[in-house]
Amino acid sequence: MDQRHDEEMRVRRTTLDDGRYFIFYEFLRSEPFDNLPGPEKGEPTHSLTKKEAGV
Amino acid sequence: MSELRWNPLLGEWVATATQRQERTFLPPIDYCPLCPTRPGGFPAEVPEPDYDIAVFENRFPSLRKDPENPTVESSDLYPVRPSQGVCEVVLYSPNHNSSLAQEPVEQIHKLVRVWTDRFRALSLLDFVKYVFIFENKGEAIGVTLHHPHGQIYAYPFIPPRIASELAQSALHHKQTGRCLICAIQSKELTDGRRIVAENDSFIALLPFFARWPYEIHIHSRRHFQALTDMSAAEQRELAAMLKMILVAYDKLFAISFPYMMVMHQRPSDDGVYDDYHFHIEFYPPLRAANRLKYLASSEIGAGMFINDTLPEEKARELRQFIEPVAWAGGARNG
Repeated sequence: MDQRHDEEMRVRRTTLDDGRYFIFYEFLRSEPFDNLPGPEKGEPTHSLTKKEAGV
Repeated sequence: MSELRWNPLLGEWVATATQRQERTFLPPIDYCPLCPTRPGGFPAEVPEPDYDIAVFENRFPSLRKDPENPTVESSDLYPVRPSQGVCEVVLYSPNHNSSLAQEPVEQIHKLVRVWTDRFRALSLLDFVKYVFIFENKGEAIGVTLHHPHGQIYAYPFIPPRIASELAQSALHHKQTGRCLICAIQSKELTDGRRIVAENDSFIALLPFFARWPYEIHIHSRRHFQALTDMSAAEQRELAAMLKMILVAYDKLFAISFPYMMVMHQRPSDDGVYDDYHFHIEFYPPLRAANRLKYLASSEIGAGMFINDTLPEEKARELRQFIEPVAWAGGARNG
């Protein structure tokens, strides 16, 4: 399972003069600790493979 | 000039990367390439005057997305292939004099999320078979830049150490029907002598079979294989666990503690690795405040480590420096 839950993270990508990429990670706010969802019992632990991701 | 050369004796690849001989070596702070580029200052690698966490392609990589063709000939005995892959640098903080241990737990939490994003992105590249997240810290390890940072290597094959762990995990599961690391965790929690720290989602222990005197493994309590499997709560708990361990390491000898930190998770090929278990390992080279554990002939030449210390005693030493982590919002955990 690929758990995507990072709405507060922003990714900004630029290219350096020599063609290498440079990625800035910016964060909007932190989640209140007590309100974070946790894993539920019985959750499958299979991770997304390339094929499943459509790559 | 770089390529991957096959070692037929060990059945593994070796990367030659001669351009790395010229890489920046311990520059003074005014010429640190990992600091933000200030107006009128030294043009660092970072193209802006500030950042929170940043990731970029290594200027002196061992692996490249578009590698040059090898200049040596491949043969049946000595296969050679282009050194295709990705090498990234992860900047933990714009503060040159900081370290991951000194950063607030909120910054480490951000880093966990960045690692997750990079693992996901690099795993989707068709030539990437394994994403290896790690940190080399301290001159004792051979670090050439002091600015707090880690690295990510995306290999075009599953590296040998991981292949061994995968094989051992599969064998144990076949023999017992159980995950190997889950079994280790269960035994260690019952015994208790080698547990260093715990929180709701992670356990840190000094392994029964430790190779390094202060080696620590961090296991997820829940059985999963990769960063992308973690819940939001587990991401925060991992940050808290890392903070606890890193601070304890620094307090042990009251120094900025050198270590290698490596993250072991599932490969990024099309395989299924449900019997593998996410974990992080620390290999600190110090065996006493001013003494290194050197890797000599038995370790390198025969593959058998000799540990001059007892894991149970070293775990007890580290436990006394474990403190709960305080988040800025007032919550405490660990």
